Amino acid sequence: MQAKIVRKEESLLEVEIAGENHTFLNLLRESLKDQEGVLFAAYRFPHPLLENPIFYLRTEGINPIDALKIAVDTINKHCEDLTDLVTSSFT
Amino acid sequence: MELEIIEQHENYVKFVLSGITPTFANTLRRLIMSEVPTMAIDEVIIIENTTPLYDEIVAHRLGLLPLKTDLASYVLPTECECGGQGCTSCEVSLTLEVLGEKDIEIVYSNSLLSQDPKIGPVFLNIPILKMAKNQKIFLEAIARLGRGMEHAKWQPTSTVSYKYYPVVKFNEKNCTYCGECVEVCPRDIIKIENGKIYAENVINCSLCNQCVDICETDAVFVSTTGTDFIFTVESTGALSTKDILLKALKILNEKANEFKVNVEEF
Repeated sequence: MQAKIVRKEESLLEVEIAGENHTFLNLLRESLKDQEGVLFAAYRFPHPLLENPIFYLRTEGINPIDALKIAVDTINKHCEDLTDLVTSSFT
Repeated sequence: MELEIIEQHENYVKFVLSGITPTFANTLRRLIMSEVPTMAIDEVIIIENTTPLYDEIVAHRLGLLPLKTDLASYVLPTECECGGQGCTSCEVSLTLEVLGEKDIEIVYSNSLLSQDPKIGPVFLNIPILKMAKNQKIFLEAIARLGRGMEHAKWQPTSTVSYKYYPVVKFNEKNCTYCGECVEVCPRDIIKIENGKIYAENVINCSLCNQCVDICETDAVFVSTTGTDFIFTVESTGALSTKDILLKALKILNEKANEFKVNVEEF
Protein backbone atom coordinates (compact mmCIF):
# COMPACT_ATOMS: atom_id res chain seq x y z
CA MET A 1 0.00 0.00 0.00
CA GLN A 2 1.24 3.46 -0.90
CA ALA A 3 -0.85 6.47 0.07
CA LYS A 4 -0.14 9.99 -1.10
CA ILE A 5 -1.95 13.29 -0.73
CA VAL A 6 -3.62 14.68 -3.83
CA ARG A 7 -5.27 17.69 -2.21
CA LYS A 8 -5.19 19.02 1.32
CA GLU A 9 -7.14 21.83 2.87
CA GLU A 10 -8.10 22.67 6.43
CA SER A 11 -11.08 20.34 6.48
CA LEU A 12 -10.66 18.44 3.23
CA LEU A 13 -8.35 15.61 2.32
CA GLU A 14 -7.99 13.76 -0.95
CA VAL A 15 -5.66 10.75 -0.87
CA GLU A 16 -4.56 8.42 -3.62
CA ILE A 17 -4.17 4.88 -2.25
CA ALA A 18 -2.25 2.53 -4.52
CA GLY A 19 -2.79 -1.22 -4.38
CA GLU A 20 -6.05 -1.25 -2.46
CA ASN A 21 -9.61 -2.09 -3.45
CA HIS A 22 -13.09 -2.25 -1.92
CA THR A 23 -11.88 -4.73 0.74
CA PHE A 24 -10.04 -2.11 2.76
CA LEU A 25 -11.47 1.15 1.43
CA ASN A 26 -15.10 0.32 2.10
CA LEU A 27 -14.27 -0.61 5.67
CA LEU A 28 -12.31 2.62 6.10
CA ARG A 29 -15.22 4.61 4.71
CA GLU A 30 -17.68 2.89 7.05
CA SER A 31 -15.39 3.45 10.00
CA LEU A 32 -15.09 7.18 9.21
CA LYS A 33 -18.79 7.57 8.55
CA ASP A 34 -19.65 6.71 12.16
CA GLN A 35 -17.17 9.24 13.55
CA GLU A 36 -18.21 12.56 14.97
CA GLY A 37 -17.04 15.55 12.95
CA VAL A 38 -16.85 13.68 9.64
CA LEU A 39 -19.12 15.26 7.05
CA PHE A 40 -18.28 13.16 4.04
CA ALA A 41 -16.17 10.09 3.39
CA ALA A 42 -16.08 8.21 0.09
CA TYR A 43 -13.76 6.74 -2.51
CA ARG A 44 -13.81 6.21 -6.24
CA PHE A 45 -11.85 4.46 -8.92
CA PRO A 46 -11.13 6.94 -11.74
CA HIS A 47 -10.39 3.86 -13.87
CA PRO A 48 -10.64 0.27 -12.60
CA LEU A 49 -7.40 -0.90 -14.24
CA LEU A 50 -5.26 2.10 -15.04
CA GLU A 51 -5.65 4.35 -12.02
CA ASN A 52 -5.53 4.07 -8.26
CA PRO A 53 -8.54 4.71 -6.05
CA ILE A 54 -8.98 8.18 -4.58
CA PHE A 55 -10.33 8.65 -1.09
CA TYR A 56 -12.19 11.86 -0.18
CA LEU A 57 -12.70 13.07 3.33
CA ARG A 58 -14.42 16.23 4.52
CA THR A 59 -14.60 17.06 8.21
CA GLU A 60 -15.93 19.76 10.49
CA GLY A 61 -14.09 20.84 13.60
CA ILE A 62 -11.41 18.12 13.43
CA ASN A 63 -8.30 17.57 11.38
CA PRO A 64 -9.01 15.02 8.59
CA ILE A 65 -5.66 13.31 9.24
CA ASP A 66 -6.60 12.76 12.88
CA ALA A 67 -9.95 11.36 11.74
CA LEU A 68 -8.13 8.85 9.54
CA LYS A 69 -5.93 7.77 12.45
CA ILE A 70 -8.96 7.20 14.67
CA ALA A 71 -10.67 5.21 11.90
CA VAL A 72 -7.63 2.95 11.49
CA ASP A 73 -7.52 2.38 15.25
CA THR A 74 -11.19 1.34 15.20
CA ILE A 75 -10.48 -1.17 12.42
CA ASN A 76 -7.54 -2.57 14.36
CA LYS A 77 -9.65 -2.91 17.47
CA HIS A 78 -12.36 -4.85 15.60
CA CYS A 79 -9.65 -7.04 14.13
CA GLU A 80 -8.12 -7.83 17.50
CA ASP A 81 -11.53 -8.50 19.09
CA LEU A 82 -12.44 -10.98 16.39
CA THR A 83 -9.01 -12.63 16.47
CA ASP A 84 -9.49 -13.27 20.20
CA LEU A 85 -12.98 -14.65 19.60
CA VAL A 86 -11.81 -16.97 16.81
CA THR A 87 -8.85 -18.20 18.87
CA SER A 88 -11.05 -18.97 21.87
CA SER A 89 -14.11 -20.48 20.16
CA PHE A 90 -12.62 -22.52 17.31
CA THR A 91 -11.26 -25.97 17.96
CA MET B 1 -18.93 -8.42 19.09
CA GLU B 2 -19.88 -12.05 19.74
CA LEU B 3 -19.19 -15.32 17.98
CA GLU B 4 -21.21 -18.50 18.29
CA ILE B 5 -20.35 -21.65 16.40
CA ILE B 6 -23.37 -23.53 15.07
CA GLU B 7 -21.76 -26.34 13.17
CA GLN B 8 -18.16 -27.39 12.80
CA HIS B 9 -16.72 -30.33 10.90
CA GLU B 10 -13.40 -30.90 9.26
CA ASN B 11 -13.03 -28.15 6.62
CA TYR B 12 -16.47 -26.69 7.35
CA VAL B 13 -17.72 -24.15 9.84
CA LYS B 14 -20.95 -22.23 10.30
CA PHE B 15 -21.05 -19.47 12.89
CA VAL B 16 -23.03 -16.43 13.92
CA LEU B 17 -21.08 -13.21 14.24
CA SER B 18 -23.08 -10.61 16.16
CA GLY B 19 -22.55 -6.91 16.62
CA ILE B 20 -20.79 -6.10 13.36
CA THR B 21 -21.67 -3.97 10.33
CA PRO B 22 -22.53 -5.38 6.89
CA THR B 23 -19.34 -3.69 5.65
CA PHE B 24 -17.18 -5.60 8.11
CA ALA B 25 -18.89 -8.87 7.15
CA ASN B 26 -18.21 -8.18 3.49
CA THR B 27 -14.62 -7.18 4.15
CA LEU B 28 -14.04 -10.47 5.95
CA ARG B 29 -15.56 -12.41 3.06
CA ARG B 30 -13.48 -10.55 0.49
CA LEU B 31 -10.30 -11.03 2.52
CA ILE B 32 -10.84 -14.78 2.74
CA MET B 33 -11.68 -15.12 -0.94
CA SER B 34 -8.95 -13.06 -2.48
CA GLU B 35 -6.20 -12.25 0.02
CA VAL B 36 -5.44 -15.35 2.11
CA PRO B 37 -2.57 -17.16 0.37
CA THR B 38 -2.52 -20.90 -0.29
CA MET B 39 -0.25 -23.29 -2.13
CA ALA B 40 -1.06 -24.43 -5.67
CA ILE B 41 0.87 -25.86 -8.59
CA ASP B 42 1.92 -22.93 -10.75
CA GLU B 43 4.47 -24.31 -13.19
CA VAL B 44 4.70 -27.76 -14.79
CA ILE B 45 7.76 -29.09 -16.58
CA ILE B 46 6.64 -32.00 -18.75
CA ILE B 47 9.47 -34.41 -19.41
CA GLU B 48 7.45 -37.15 -21.05
CA ASN B 49 3.77 -37.36 -21.90
CA THR B 50 2.56 -40.14 -24.17
CA THR B 51 -0.94 -40.17 -22.66
CA PRO B 52 -3.96 -39.04 -24.70
CA LEU B 53 -4.29 -35.83 -22.64
CA TYR B 54 -2.53 -32.73 -23.91
CA ASP B 55 0.20 -31.22 -21.72
CA GLU B 56 -1.94 -28.11 -21.15
CA ILE B 57 -4.89 -30.11 -19.86
CA VAL B 58 -2.68 -32.07 -17.45
CA ALA B 59 -1.08 -28.83 -16.24
CA HIS B 60 -4.47 -27.19 -15.73
CA ARG B 61 -5.79 -30.19 -13.78
CA LEU B 62 -2.69 -30.23 -11.58
CA GLY B 63 -3.10 -26.52 -10.85
CA LEU B 64 -6.59 -27.08 -9.46
CA LEU B 65 -5.54 -29.73 -6.91
CA PRO B 66 -5.83 -28.41 -3.36
CA LEU B 67 -2.46 -28.68 -1.62
CA LYS B 68 -1.86 -28.71 2.12
CA THR B 69 -0.33 -25.34 2.95
CA ASP B 70 2.14 -24.35 5.61
CA LEU B 71 2.06 -20.57 5.92
CA ALA B 72 4.76 -20.54 8.61
CA SER B 73 7.54 -21.97 6.40
CA TYR B 74 6.67 -20.44 3.01
CA VAL B 75 6.36 -16.89 1.74
CA LEU B 76 4.85 -15.39 -1.38
CA PRO B 77 7.38 -15.25 -4.26
CA THR B 78 6.92 -11.44 -4.46
CA GLU B 79 7.90 -11.10 -0.79
CA CYS B 80 10.74 -13.64 -0.88
CA GLU B 81 14.37 -12.76 -0.30
CA CYS B 82 15.28 -14.40 -3.61
CA GLY B 83 13.19 -11.76 -5.41
CA GLY B 84 10.78 -14.30 -6.86
CA GLN B 85 13.40 -16.29 -8.76
CA GLY B 86 12.54 -19.41 -6.80
CA CYS B 87 14.16 -20.84 -3.70
CA THR B 88 13.30 -23.34 -0.98
CA SER B 89 11.33 -20.80 1.04
CA CYS B 90 8.97 -19.82 -1.77
CA GLU B 91 8.48 -22.93 -3.87
CA VAL B 92 8.15 -26.72 -3.60
CA SER B 93 8.80 -29.25 -6.30
CA LEU B 94 6.52 -32.25 -6.81
CA THR B 95 7.12 -35.10 -9.22
CA LEU B 96 4.73 -37.42 -11.01
CA GLU B 97 6.02 -40.50 -12.79
CA VAL B 98 3.62 -43.25 -13.82
CA LEU B 99 3.89 -45.97 -16.45
CA GLY B 100 0.64 -47.62 -17.57
CA GLU B 101 0.66 -51.19 -16.34
CA LYS B 102 -3.03 -52.06 -16.61
CA ASP B 103 -5.15 -51.81 -19.77
CA ILE B 104 -6.68 -48.63 -18.43
CA GLU B 105 -4.55 -46.92 -15.83
CA ILE B 106 -5.97 -44.02 -13.82
CA VAL B 107 -3.39 -41.74 -12.26
CA TYR B 108 -4.57 -40.40 -8.91
CA SER B 109 -3.24 -37.50 -6.88
CA ASN B 110 -1.46 -39.91 -4.50
CA SER B 111 1.16 -40.50 -7.25
CA LEU B 112 2.26 -36.90 -6.88
CA LEU B 113 5.39 -37.02 -4.70
CA SER B 114 6.35 -33.91 -2.82
CA GLN B 115 9.82 -32.73 -1.88
CA ASP B 116 8.42 -31.43 1.42
CA PRO B 117 6.17 -33.79 3.40
CA LYS B 118 4.22 -30.83 4.82
CA ILE B 119 3.07 -29.83 1.32
CA GLY B 120 1.08 -32.29 -0.78
CA PRO B 121 -2.37 -33.08 -2.14
CA VAL B 122 -5.14 -32.77 0.46
CA PHE B 123 -7.09 -35.65 -1.07
CA LEU B 124 -5.20 -38.66 -2.36
CA ASN B 125 -8.01 -39.98 -4.58
CA ILE B 126 -8.46 -37.23 -7.15
CA PRO B 127 -8.06 -38.60 -10.70
CA ILE B 128 -5.51 -36.60 -12.70
CA LEU B 129 -5.58 -38.52 -15.98
CA LYS B 130 -6.32 -41.84 -17.65
CA MET B 131 -3.97 -43.73 -19.90
CA ALA B 132 -3.56 -47.02 -21.73
CA LYS B 133 -0.95 -49.72 -21.20
CA ASN B 134 2.70 -48.68 -21.69
CA GLN B 135 1.84 -45.01 -21.97
CA LYS B 136 3.84 -42.78 -19.71
CA ILE B 137 3.63 -39.51 -17.81
CA PHE B 138 6.68 -37.97 -16.23
CA LEU B 139 6.66 -34.41 -15.02
CA GLU B 140 7.88 -31.99 -12.42
CA ALA B 141 5.42 -29.55 -10.90
CA ILE B 142 6.37 -26.43 -8.98
CA ALA B 143 3.95 -25.24 -6.32
CA ARG B 144 3.98 -21.68 -5.05
CA LEU B 145 1.97 -19.55 -2.70
CA GLY B 146 -0.50 -17.23 -4.37
CA ARG B 147 -3.64 -15.26 -3.75
CA GLY B 148 -7.19 -15.89 -4.93
CA MET B 149 -7.31 -12.50 -6.63
CA GLU B 150 -4.81 -13.76 -9.19
CA HIS B 151 -6.30 -17.18 -9.90
CA ALA B 152 -9.13 -19.17 -8.28
CA LYS B 153 -6.78 -22.12 -7.71
CA TRP B 154 -5.23 -20.10 -4.87
CA GLN B 155 -8.52 -19.56 -3.03
CA PRO B 156 -8.42 -21.21 0.40
CA THR B 157 -12.18 -21.80 0.41
CA SER B 158 -14.65 -23.36 -1.96
CA THR B 159 -17.46 -21.45 -0.26
CA VAL B 160 -17.36 -18.41 1.93
CA SER B 161 -20.63 -16.62 2.40
CA TYR B 162 -22.74 -14.78 4.91
CA LYS B 163 -26.40 -14.00 5.35
CA TYR B 164 -28.31 -11.67 7.61
CA TYR B 165 -29.72 -13.20 10.80
CA PRO B 166 -33.46 -13.60 10.15
CA VAL B 167 -36.24 -12.37 12.43
CA VAL B 168 -39.71 -13.89 11.96
CA LYS B 169 -42.56 -12.31 13.91
CA PHE B 170 -46.32 -12.79 14.02
CA ASN B 171 -49.17 -10.49 14.87
CA GLU B 172 -51.41 -12.83 16.79
CA LYS B 173 -54.33 -10.34 16.75
CA ASN B 174 -54.54 -10.47 12.95
CA CYS B 175 -53.66 -14.16 12.55
CA THR B 176 -56.53 -16.46 11.52
CA TYR B 177 -54.40 -19.60 12.01
CA CYS B 178 -55.27 -20.70 8.46
CA GLY B 179 -51.91 -22.49 8.19
CA GLU B 180 -51.09 -21.24 4.70
CA CYS B 181 -47.74 -19.79 5.81
CA VAL B 182 -46.83 -23.13 7.41
CA GLU B 183 -47.51 -24.91 4.13
CA VAL B 184 -45.70 -22.43 1.90
CA CYS B 185 -42.50 -22.19 3.96
CA PRO B 186 -39.76 -24.05 2.06
CA ARG B 187 -37.61 -24.38 5.21
CA ASP B 188 -40.47 -25.59 7.48
CA ILE B 189 -39.74 -23.11 10.25
CA ILE B 190 -43.29 -21.92 11.01
CA LYS B 191 -45.33 -24.06 13.39
CA ILE B 192 -48.89 -23.85 14.74
CA GLU B 193 -49.46 -25.75 17.94
CA ASN B 194 -52.21 -25.46 20.58
CA GLY B 195 -53.59 -22.31 18.96
CA LYS B 196 -50.20 -20.59 18.99
CA ILE B 197 -48.10 -19.65 16.02
CA TYR B 198 -44.32 -19.53 16.32
CA ALA B 199 -41.12 -19.99 14.36
CA GLU B 200 -38.44 -22.51 15.29
CA ASN B 201 -34.88 -22.82 13.95
CA VAL B 202 -35.16 -19.28 12.61
CA ILE B 203 -31.56 -19.55 11.45
CA ASN B 204 -32.70 -21.73 8.55
CA CYS B 205 -34.99 -19.00 7.18
CA SER B 206 -33.90 -17.99 3.68
CA LEU B 207 -35.76 -14.65 3.87
CA CYS B 208 -37.83 -15.63 0.82
CA ASN B 209 -40.87 -13.73 2.13
CA GLN B 210 -43.31 -16.31 0.74
CA CYS B 211 -45.11 -16.46 4.11
CA VAL B 212 -45.53 -12.67 4.08
CA ASP B 213 -46.86 -12.68 0.51
CA ILE B 214 -49.41 -15.45 1.08
CA CYS B 215 -50.79 -14.06 4.36
CA GLU B 216 -54.05 -12.22 3.62
CA THR B 217 -54.33 -10.65 7.07
CA ASP B 218 -50.77 -9.24 7.22
CA ALA B 219 -49.93 -11.24 10.32
CA VAL B 220 -46.40 -12.39 9.35
CA PHE B 221 -43.33 -10.18 9.41
CA VAL B 222 -39.90 -11.22 8.15
CA SER B 223 -36.92 -8.97 8.68
CA THR B 224 -33.28 -9.09 9.75
CA THR B 225 -31.40 -7.85 12.78
CA GLY B 226 -28.94 -5.94 10.56
CA THR B 227 -26.01 -6.48 12.91
CA ASP B 228 -25.86 -10.28 13.10
CA PHE B 229 -24.51 -12.46 10.32
CA ILE B 230 -24.46 -16.19 9.69
CA PHE B 231 -21.14 -17.09 8.09
CA THR B 232 -20.41 -20.29 6.23
CA VAL B 233 -16.75 -21.07 5.56
CA GLU B 234 -15.91 -24.22 3.67
CA SER B 235 -12.20 -24.80 3.24
CA THR B 236 -10.66 -26.71 0.34
CA GLY B 237 -8.49 -28.44 2.93
CA ALA B 238 -5.39 -26.38 2.15
CA LEU B 239 -5.75 -24.56 5.49
CA SER B 240 -8.04 -25.17 8.45
CA THR B 241 -11.02 -22.85 8.76
CA LYS B 242 -9.50 -21.38 11.92
CA ASP B 243 -6.22 -20.59 10.17
CA ILE B 244 -8.09 -19.03 7.25
CA LEU B 245 -9.96 -16.64 9.52
CA LEU B 246 -6.91 -15.78 11.61
CA LYS B 247 -4.81 -15.14 8.49
CA ALA B 248 -7.56 -12.97 6.97
CA LEU B 249 -7.71 -10.85 10.14
CA LYS B 250 -3.93 -10.63 10.27
CA ILE B 251 -3.88 -9.34 6.69
CA LEU B 252 -6.50 -6.71 7.55
CA ASN B 253 -4.48 -5.69 10.59
CA GLU B 254 -1.35 -5.34 8.45
CA LYS B 255 -3.22 -3.27 5.87
CA ALA B 256 -4.53 -0.95 8.57
CA ASN B 257 -1.09 -0.57 10.17
CA GLU B 258 0.55 0.10 6.82
CA PHE B 259 -2.05 2.77 6.08
CA LYS B 260 -1.47 4.32 9.49
CA VAL B 261 2.26 4.57 8.82
CA ASN B 262 1.46 6.32 5.55
CA VAL B 263 -0.99 8.69 7.23
CA GLU B 264 1.50 9.61 9.96
CA GLU B 265 3.92 10.81 7.28
CA PHE B 266 1.33 13.22 5.80
